[in-house]
Amino acid sequence: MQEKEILNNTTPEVKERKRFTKQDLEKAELNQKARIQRSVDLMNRKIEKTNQDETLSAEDKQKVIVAAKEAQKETVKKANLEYKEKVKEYKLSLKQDKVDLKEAKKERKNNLKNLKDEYKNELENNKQEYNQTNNKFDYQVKNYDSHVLYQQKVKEENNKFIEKRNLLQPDYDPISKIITKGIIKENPVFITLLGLCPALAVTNSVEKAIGMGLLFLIIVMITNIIVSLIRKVTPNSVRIPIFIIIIATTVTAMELLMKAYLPALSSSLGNFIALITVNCIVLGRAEAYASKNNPFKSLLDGLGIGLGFTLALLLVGFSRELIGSGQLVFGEVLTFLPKAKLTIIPEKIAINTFLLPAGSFLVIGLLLALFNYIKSKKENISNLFTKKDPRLTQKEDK
Amino acid sequence: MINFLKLFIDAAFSSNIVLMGFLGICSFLGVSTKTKNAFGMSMAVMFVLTVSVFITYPVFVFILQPLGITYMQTIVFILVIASLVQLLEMFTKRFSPTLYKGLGVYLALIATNCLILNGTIDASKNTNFGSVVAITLGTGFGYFIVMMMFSAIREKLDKAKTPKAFKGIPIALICTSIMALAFAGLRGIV
Repeated sequence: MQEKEILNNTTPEVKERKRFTKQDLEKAELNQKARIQRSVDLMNRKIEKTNQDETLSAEDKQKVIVAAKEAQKETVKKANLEYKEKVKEYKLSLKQDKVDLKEAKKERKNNLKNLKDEYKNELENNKQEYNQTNNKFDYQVKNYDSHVLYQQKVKEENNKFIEKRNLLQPDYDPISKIITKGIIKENPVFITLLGLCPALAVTNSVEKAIGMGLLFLIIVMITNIIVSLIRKVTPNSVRIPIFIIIIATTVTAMELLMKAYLPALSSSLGNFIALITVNCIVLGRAEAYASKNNPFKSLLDGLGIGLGFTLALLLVGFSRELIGSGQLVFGEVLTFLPKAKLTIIPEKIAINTFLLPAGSFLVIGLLLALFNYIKSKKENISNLFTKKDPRLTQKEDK
Repeated sequence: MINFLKLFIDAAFSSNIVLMGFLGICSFLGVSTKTKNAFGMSMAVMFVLTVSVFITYPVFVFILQPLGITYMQTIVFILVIASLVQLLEMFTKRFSPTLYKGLGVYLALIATNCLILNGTIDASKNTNFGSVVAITLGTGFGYFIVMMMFSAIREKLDKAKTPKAFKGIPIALICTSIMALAFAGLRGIV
């Protein structure tokens, strides 16, 4: 009984308000256009009719035509005005949405705080009871129950908020999420396995890996911005060839720039610069993200994916160079860096195979296995932190 | 003739495009789960690689070089390859439905296969057309050999008891690494 009452009390009254959504606005726009078209049709018909009418004199005809034209203008004016008002309404509604969202955030914060206080109070009550009765098992069970109830309530609260946010802000996509998504959740080398060719080929030194990663980052960002800018004028049926041409042009420009300013890096990467054109990641981002989102978001997406790619290459390059030659060399290919040589493992122990093609397959295979292992262990670790039901453990003990 | 053979063997084995050149890895890992698919894919790659090199080489020598716009090669080549793949798809569909049934699915994937673009770019650096032919044929053959071997290995790997973390791509990559070591041993034969 008590639980129900608490739940009922914490449910805030949701203020129902008529929202003016984007769909409504689109409908209004269509309506306005149709109205203008109708008025034009009406005017044309009238003009034709008067022109064919032989009983009227030329002067009268002119008068009628002018009147018809004016009437049409009037209706257009009216339609435009009405549409403008609709736009105003939409903007107001957007503003209200923002206010509502802020309120919802505040509400969630307050509710969570209240729940936490309640939980603490309950724990204290349990403790007092324990002090009186000295029944340890009962105490543990009660604590566990209130813990579970608390977590459930927090979850409900969060879900309610997320539901509301989805309604008020359908395109919710925070900046930090866009960037970290590319680095961890959708890492182009280790998770989606799309950028394996360059990851295998140019990673026999840290420097080459960094050079390739940064070049790739710049190219993805540029192509994402361009694709996003022209997304509204690209015909759907020929979008892939258009994307490929944009990517190829960007790659060619970068290739020429590299030849001029970083000739050592350019010659060490060889064909792999040109081959970024056919890299699945660049085309994939253009198709999956940039062609559907605004330029700023696409830029961030490119940044995230590029950073993820660079970090992955860095990891592979670092392990290969370290095990393969025992030292890290800087300033050889990226000529703007100071020349340095870090010897970490003596050369006698270093395994040369890791610098060969076979080594790169091996390193990436082992790294993938390592990530799989961590992923499977992660669930175990999170299981450790959740509280166990004392009733279950008691049964096990018996 | 001996020169031709030398280049062919070098391209096919000792500098194998997949194991030494790291190209076409996406298709190598993606389509090699079954021998039948691997056969179709490698046939399609050999076919498209040969045809596209035979088109892009003259384009490079007779159009791009005289005009002095060799830096446009990436854009021109990718356009040629993409349209060629489209044309081949239409052509085989119309005139050889059996071939289309075998290659059709893979043809669409090939436009973005880095192996083809790399083949055309490498060919454009070569001045002798005879050696271009040898290297192109050798590259295709090398891809075919490795694909067939690897798909056979993977069919066996599916039934093997691999550790949980290594299942799928990781163990496949490690097998590739061992294959690459073996192919590296062929370096001296030519």
